[in-house]
Amino acid sequence: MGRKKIIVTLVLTCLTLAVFSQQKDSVKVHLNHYTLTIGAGWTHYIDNLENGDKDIQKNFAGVSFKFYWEPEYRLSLGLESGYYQLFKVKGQLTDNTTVEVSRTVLPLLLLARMRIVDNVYLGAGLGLAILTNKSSGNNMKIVTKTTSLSNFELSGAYVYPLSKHWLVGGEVKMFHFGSLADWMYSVQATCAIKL
Amino acid sequence: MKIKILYLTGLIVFIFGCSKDTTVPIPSPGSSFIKETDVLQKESKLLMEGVYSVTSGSEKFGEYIILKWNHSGLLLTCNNGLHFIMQAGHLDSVVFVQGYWRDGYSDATGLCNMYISKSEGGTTIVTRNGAQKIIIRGAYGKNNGLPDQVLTLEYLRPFSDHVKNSNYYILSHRCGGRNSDRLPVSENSIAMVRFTEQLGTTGIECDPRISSDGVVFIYHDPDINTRLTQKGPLAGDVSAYTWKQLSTFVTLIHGEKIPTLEELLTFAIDSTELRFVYMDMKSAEAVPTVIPIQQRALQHAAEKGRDIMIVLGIPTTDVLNALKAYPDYQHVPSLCELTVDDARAVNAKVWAPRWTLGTQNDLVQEMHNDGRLAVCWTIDSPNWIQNYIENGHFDGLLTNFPYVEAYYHYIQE
Repeated sequence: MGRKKIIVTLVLTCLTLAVFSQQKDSVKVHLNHYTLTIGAGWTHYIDNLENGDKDIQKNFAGVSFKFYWEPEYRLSLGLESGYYQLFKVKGQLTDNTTVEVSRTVLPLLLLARMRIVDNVYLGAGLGLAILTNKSSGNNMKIVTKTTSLSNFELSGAYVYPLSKHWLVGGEVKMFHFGSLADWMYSVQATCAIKL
Repeated sequence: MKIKILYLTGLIVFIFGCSKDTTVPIPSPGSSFIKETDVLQKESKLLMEGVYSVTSGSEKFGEYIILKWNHSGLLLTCNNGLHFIMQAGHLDSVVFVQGYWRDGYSDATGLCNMYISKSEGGTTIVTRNGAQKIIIRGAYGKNNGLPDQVLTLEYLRPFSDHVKNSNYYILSHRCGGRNSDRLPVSENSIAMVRFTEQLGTTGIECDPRISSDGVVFIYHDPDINTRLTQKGPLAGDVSAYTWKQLSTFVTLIHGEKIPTLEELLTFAIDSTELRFVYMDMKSAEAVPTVIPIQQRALQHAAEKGRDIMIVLGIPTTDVLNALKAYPDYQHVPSLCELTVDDARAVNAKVWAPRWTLGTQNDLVQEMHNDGRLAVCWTIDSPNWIQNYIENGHFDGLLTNFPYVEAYYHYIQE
């Protein structure tokens, strides 16, 4: 239920901004350009494991890369990738053998982003993700990969232009990876360059 | 504005619409009256078995109901997927029957309480003496509600000699039932092997795979997923993991652990009356490891005097070739899903064609002439089950709805 509350709060906040935002737009934007954004920050896995999550680590650093095409004032289209660790758990196989299991994800999403008010953006993305499970211990390492086809991302960003080409900002985003039913959110500092 | 409201409604439905419910709750009467009753003797149970006409309640349960005892209770089954999982006992000369009904093709379920009075067959059943006239009276309800709809069954006839003398197998998929049918236990688990006899099953199909360290375990899908397991830290190719890792980190959807093939066969032999285990090989690499386990299980069954057939399933040419590479492979009891020639080539005990190929009575007769059995997989529609039982000559059908197959098998004249 906690997870649902977070999702609903985030979605409703975004929705309210989108639906009731003012039409006034005072920012003069150079049309039809490309932007490359790099983000880095904190990620948190929303633990919905039903077993094996004793001593789970849920907080890690993560990075993201985005490429946007901004053809007009308000809407941008883009691609996003990145690298995140979702969790790490330890389990006791025998009295003297432990095993460590971790899961990382590499998303590849198509993004749509909309400027709501000056410097504030809301975005959503859909696409693929490759989830990698690593299990180590007992002198062996097992790596399995799962390709998840039904994934989405919701994000909100503040972008401040430092110069004609450089922008900095912050972004909050939430991911859902459908195939393994994993949820995570991330808070990142971003740096962008207009090409 | 309308679009905004529609969007918001759609979003809320999307977020709250998914249900994690994986089972139809078994209705509970609160306390079981049957525990207070005395156990019926085997002869008494046999007297109760047979075909009953439904004199009240036929609008829901159809014209006839089959009553058949099993290892853990008694099954009453209809032609439309409705079935009753019941317990029975007696106090003096009154027989009490209590349990629940379920529609196998939907989530409908409810409690059911019935009895056989002294004068309407109770005395005959308990004393195992007298004319076999039985009327079972009672009522059924909805979910946990008190049974308030009248149900009356009247004994029509015993099972025919054809049925009694046949060596027919009611074979259930995935150790007895699938998760998608929202049963109370997980598919391919020991608990399912125990449960499935209550559904009329007399044989099971299971799905052996091999772990990275050579342990054969029972699991259907190639990957670890939330359809089969509770969400845990492992994911991806299930066979990539060691048995220790699987047994430590993976829990089946209803809380059971994945069984090894050895555990499953031992349980089937020691703790059930099942007569057939069909190991539907999911990996050719597992064949050389499975055969010694099969041989040990057959030896154990022989020592216990159990009449049980345990066959290595051959669903693909890879498995066929792996079997042919095994020394003395023609003496390995097998079930071949490929052609009759392939079945002959490995001296399979059973030929098992896909049901969509038809009843193939001429080929089935050829197999019988060779001294082999023929079973058919996997047939779920009541109409087709009826058709194959009435018009085919198979020695068994593999199904996800064993109670429907039980109905059409036991009602044959």
